[in-house]
Amino acid sequence: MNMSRFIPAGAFVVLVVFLGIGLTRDPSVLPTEMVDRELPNFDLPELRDPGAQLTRADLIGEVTLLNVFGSWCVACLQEHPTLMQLARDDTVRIAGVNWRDEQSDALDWLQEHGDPYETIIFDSNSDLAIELGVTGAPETFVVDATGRIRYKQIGPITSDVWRGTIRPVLDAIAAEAPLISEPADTALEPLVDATLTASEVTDPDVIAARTEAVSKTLRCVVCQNQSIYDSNAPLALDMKRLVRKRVMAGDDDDQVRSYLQYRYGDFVLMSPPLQLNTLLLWLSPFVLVLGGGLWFLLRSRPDKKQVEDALSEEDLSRIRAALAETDSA
Amino acid sequence: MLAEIGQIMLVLALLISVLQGWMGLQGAHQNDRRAMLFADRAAMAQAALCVLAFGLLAQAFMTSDFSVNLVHNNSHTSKPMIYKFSGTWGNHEGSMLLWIMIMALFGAAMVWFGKTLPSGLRARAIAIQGLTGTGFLAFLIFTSNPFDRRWPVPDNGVGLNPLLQDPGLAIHPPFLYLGYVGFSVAFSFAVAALIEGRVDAMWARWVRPWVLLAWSFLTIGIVLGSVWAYYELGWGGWWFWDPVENVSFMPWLAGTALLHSTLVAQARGGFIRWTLLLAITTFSLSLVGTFIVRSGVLTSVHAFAVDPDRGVFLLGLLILATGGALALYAARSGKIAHGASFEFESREAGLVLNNILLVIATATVFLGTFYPLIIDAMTGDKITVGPPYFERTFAPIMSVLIIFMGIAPLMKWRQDSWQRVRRPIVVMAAAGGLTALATAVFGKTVFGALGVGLAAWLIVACLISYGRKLRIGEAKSDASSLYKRWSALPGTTHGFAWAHLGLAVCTIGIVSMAVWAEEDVDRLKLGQSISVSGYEFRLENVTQAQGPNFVSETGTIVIERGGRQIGVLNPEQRQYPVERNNTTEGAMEIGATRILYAAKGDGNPQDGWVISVYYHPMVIWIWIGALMMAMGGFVSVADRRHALSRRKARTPQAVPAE
Repeated sequence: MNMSRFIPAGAFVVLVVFLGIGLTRDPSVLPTEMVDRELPNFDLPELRDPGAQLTRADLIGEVTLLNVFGSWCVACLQEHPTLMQLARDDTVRIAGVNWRDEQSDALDWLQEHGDPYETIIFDSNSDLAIELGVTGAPETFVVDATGRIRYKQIGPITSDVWRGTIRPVLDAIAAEAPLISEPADTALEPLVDATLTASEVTDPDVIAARTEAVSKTLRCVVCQNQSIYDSNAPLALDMKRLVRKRVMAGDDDDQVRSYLQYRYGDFVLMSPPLQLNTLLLWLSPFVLVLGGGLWFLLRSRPDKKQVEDALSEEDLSRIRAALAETDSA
Repeated sequence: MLAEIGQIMLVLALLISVLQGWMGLQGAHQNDRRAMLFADRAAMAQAALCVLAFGLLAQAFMTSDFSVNLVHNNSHTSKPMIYKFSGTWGNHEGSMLLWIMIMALFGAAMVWFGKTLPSGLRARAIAIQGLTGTGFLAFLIFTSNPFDRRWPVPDNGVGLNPLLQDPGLAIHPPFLYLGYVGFSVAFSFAVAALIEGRVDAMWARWVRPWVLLAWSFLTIGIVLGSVWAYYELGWGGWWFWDPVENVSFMPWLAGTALLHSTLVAQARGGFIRWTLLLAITTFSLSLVGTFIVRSGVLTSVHAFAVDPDRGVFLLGLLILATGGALALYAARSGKIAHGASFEFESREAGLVLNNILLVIATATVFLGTFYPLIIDAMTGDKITVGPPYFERTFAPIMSVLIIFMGIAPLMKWRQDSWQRVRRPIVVMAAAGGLTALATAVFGKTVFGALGVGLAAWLIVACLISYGRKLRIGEAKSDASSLYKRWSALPGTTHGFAWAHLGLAVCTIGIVSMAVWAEEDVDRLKLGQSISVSGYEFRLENVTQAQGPNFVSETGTIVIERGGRQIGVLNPEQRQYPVERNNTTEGAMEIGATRILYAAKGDGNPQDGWVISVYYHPMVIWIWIGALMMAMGGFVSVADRRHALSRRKARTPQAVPAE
């Protein structure tokens, strides 16, 4: 029995399973890359005191909730009461990253809704946000006393999220033996500006051309299938600025790409890297072409004998009759 | 009141479609003429009801009846009338109703044009068409009712996404759906044939014009979408390999394969099972497309608002329609004579290669589109499959296809010899090679040379095979006898020439855009300029104006080349206060060999305005080529060998050997 007629139905079943699973996933939620990594370096002003610069050192030494917010962020209002309550109860230190905001707007917002933050990093150009792999607000990082990111919450911290998710993470950190900090498994990335002295590119045409070329190969993480080059989303503009900065600092194109890949995952690469989970993707077309070509060559052998044998005597007589008819016509 | 009538009509259409399916299948099974006649009438009635329901919805939009929720959510009194009308399908519910109406109209057309068919096959096909309609009508009524009322009646509507307020986009969905849904006819006939367990050459002759029709409409639909994206989105691109573009492209690719496999089925009675499978696949890809666009499983610029319930319902429909058809295929296809043997040196062999390559191309686009979903489902990893993947996989496959496209039409059916086609192939290779060489020398690009060389190869190949069909040089070649032979050629031959030349033209456009396009962006103050590819764009002025339902800021940009003025562009930025949305209206200076394009972004007189300028060589050839393909499809429909006739055919005529 020829089983090949079941192949299409079988393939369809597989497809339906994947489409079904796909329905349960939200394609816009990105995985978190930064968990279990060191909190990145930064050097940014304090929102409420622009004279003071904040660095990574200011956040280390105590378990901290690092909360990314902005006055433009509607969902931030949803979690704000929870943060205020935590601040009142002095449960945990809360630090803010005021992201892509105007200083006066942010201060007004805090005035109106209350200020739960011990320190607020003023990050108007996404410098820290990109280092943290932030895609939207609110996002909240749990940073332990050694400066390691332990958890990332995407979306508002409602009281349910606090009780069910964040609190247990904090409890687990508290239960760990103090002073035994795990060795960092990833080297601390240097400050962006620290590398600026390496081998600088100064020709503006080269910078512009390379920024354009690299930007086209990076996907905007807040848009839908646009490269950061094509997108006008604020985060994409900031990423373009970062690409330019890295290019000027002397990074080659791959280094710039892996810089963002490290923070946002494979998702930012327009061209999926050839690795284990993309083998099927990259190899299938070539395997199919080979298979199709082979099938064609095997099937197309001149095989006249068999075709004639397949005709019954009855068929042949009908063919002869038909031919005779055409000839006489 | 009118909305309630529309609602009732949809429910009636649903009930009638069930009867259409039941009576058609039963009637064919028991050879009951009256039942089959009932199914015919039901198909007509279903079409009439759907048209009326659609008309009533359009009426609600055109009269701004905001008591209908859908109108409130997608329209506004200040909108021009044409966009009030096109707004009917500028949303999920209305576009679904348009889809259903077109499907029902195709069902009625099957009745109308199908008089010559064996009654059993015909009744079964009409029944399947009816049942597919049942599924979509149920989907519409139960998950996406377009006639839902709202109370209290609001004073005005929310408005239509400004991006959709555009003539290109007003007609894009109807064409796209004529294509998508048109493939349902081939699907219904494939399923009917599987139920019967018997297919003859007549089947292919009957299905082919429907496939051609659907394919041509789909081609136009895709072109309209591409043109619209080009001038409206302001990114200066004509194709983005976005999931939603891909899901319209996959039925097109599979449909192209189907077109060619029906040729073999019709002329040689071969590859029948394969053709049935392709017919099922092509329409199923349309269904998958609908699922993707309306369920939100993939992110896309074009997706409709997401509702998981709709996704579940549509997945169910897909399982019933495609799953049912493929199960039937597994059960019944063994009975159908296949006839899959072919000679290496024959036209069949060329068409088999065409099918292999097009199916692989479809599979590649499919894999690239769904891979992020597959990997997410298996491992939770999120990856992006962007244009670079498709450029590296799809483009080489199509290049190989073009090589064989040049050779296959020269071959005779059954058996031919290389000897006979060697000379034209040498000519084609010389033309392609010289063109490639010239391109490499003057254009300084290897990739461009390969692409343009392939196009030249294909153009010469088409001209040679067309010339051979006209027997130029073999028979008397004066104008009148040439004309006589030209008009005696079957429609398919003319269609072939149009479509294949169209692809060559399209290829030139695509390759030129990939290799020679240039762009630049800068912040310009008045009087400053920016240049690409030798064209200087100077910002002369920026003015504000009030449109019917928007405020606009328009730049005046003068283009000069070598001190000579080429044209003036007025790129616009529109602000729609109702929808609180902005659109970019790029401005173009269109020439036969290039488009100069400028788009204006935000800015002010002190800092200047962000101006993007583009030099796009041959871009228009992409669309002209595609329209030539569609044209070829329409010309082929009229082929007299197709059984698309209301009159009873006399005895089936023998297929003339070409």
